[in-house]
Amino acid sequence: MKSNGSWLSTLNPSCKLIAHLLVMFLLMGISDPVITLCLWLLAVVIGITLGGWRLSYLLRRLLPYTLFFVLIFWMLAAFGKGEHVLWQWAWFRITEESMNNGLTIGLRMLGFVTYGLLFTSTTDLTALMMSLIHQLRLSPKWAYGMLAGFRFIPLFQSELQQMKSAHKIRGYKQKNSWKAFARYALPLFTQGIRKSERIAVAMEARGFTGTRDRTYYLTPVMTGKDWIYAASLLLAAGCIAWLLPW
Amino acid sequence: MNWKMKEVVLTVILAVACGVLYLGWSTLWIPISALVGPVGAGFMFGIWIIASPIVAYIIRKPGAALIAEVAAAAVEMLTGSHFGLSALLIGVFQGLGAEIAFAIFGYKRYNVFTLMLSGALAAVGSIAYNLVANGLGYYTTQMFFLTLGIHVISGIVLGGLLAKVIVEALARTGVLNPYEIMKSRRKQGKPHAVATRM
Repeated sequence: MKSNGSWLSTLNPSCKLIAHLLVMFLLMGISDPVITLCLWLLAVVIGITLGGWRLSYLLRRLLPYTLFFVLIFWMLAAFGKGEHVLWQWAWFRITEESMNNGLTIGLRMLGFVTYGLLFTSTTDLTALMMSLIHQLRLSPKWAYGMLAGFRFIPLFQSELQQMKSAHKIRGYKQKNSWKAFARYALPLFTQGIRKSERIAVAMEARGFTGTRDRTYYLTPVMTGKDWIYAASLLLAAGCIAWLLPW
Repeated sequence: MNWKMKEVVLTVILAVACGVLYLGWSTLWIPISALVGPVGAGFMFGIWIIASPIVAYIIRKPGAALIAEVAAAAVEMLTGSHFGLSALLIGVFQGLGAEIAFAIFGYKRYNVFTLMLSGALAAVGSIAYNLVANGLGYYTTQMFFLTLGIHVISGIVLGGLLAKVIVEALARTGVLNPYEIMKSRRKQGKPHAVATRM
């Protein structure tokens, strides 16, 4: 998660997070494919105008999703409930209602993906954690603990890959999958636990107590444009949701 | 709720390790779901909630199950998965479900039963999210209960039971000695359960 230097990335992360989550909750309450589509388009427009997305970036991120979209649409259309049967074959039963629902849910998930991307592609992880401390009153102990822990994602990924290769070269085949899970999980966890202990000791040895009375290099604040963005996003989404049906 | 620094970091790191394993599990999941269909692949669901029982069983503090699952879900967001914020929301629902299992026993009972219960309730939480957000309610009733049943069973076995197996194996290595799980065992006077550090 890195910021991309767009206007959206200059906003306060907590404010942006909450605004986007609220729009996602709004999406959950809507069962009309047209409104859902419009809310999704709103996210795309914001992404292109304020979020610094290029069309090629958008396509690259959303194209893999289309397959998933088709799958969800098919599952709901073929296995959903409804009265007006359009087409029936074997245990597949497509009705008008289930088609409609499939379209709504597929578009809703697309909306979730896009609003999520709008947040993750424009927010820096450290800035988010600092903002969580100052705006949402998260304890510094947890914020810095998480920052330390999240640094290990790439390390664990390469360790897992290494273990997989080591097993492969010795002719190990995954016979059943939960045993394979335990086989990779155990070394990963033992290493992780040892590392976590060392990190915690290192943090405390440098005087980190995790209390709120500490100094900060950067103190994020809420400014006027944060309020304006959150308010106009919610207003626009609300207008689409309530005015469009008329 | 007074967390020590090492418990905070342990919770986050174990959750991160689980999150990384979830990513690997996802790649395993796609070919299987293509073969037996998404409902059948629900049997593999339990792995995705394993962070909660593992961490709660080791740390034994209120909130451990919820925080672990949310942090594990955050890995998906941070590695740039498509389901960024929705993964985080699912994590909250699953974590809350898992947390309830320990909360109803006042955070006093940590055994194989509460672990399995937390797996089951995390599955219920996940289904609740799917009901609200992903239109699970639009499926036919029998499809809904079939999905629910499969997820709960998978949560019990792959979530709760497997978590127990993994944590016991970890305990035997001795790395858990400074944490609550081994402390309470030492207090109960089970010296044979405490492995010596190599």
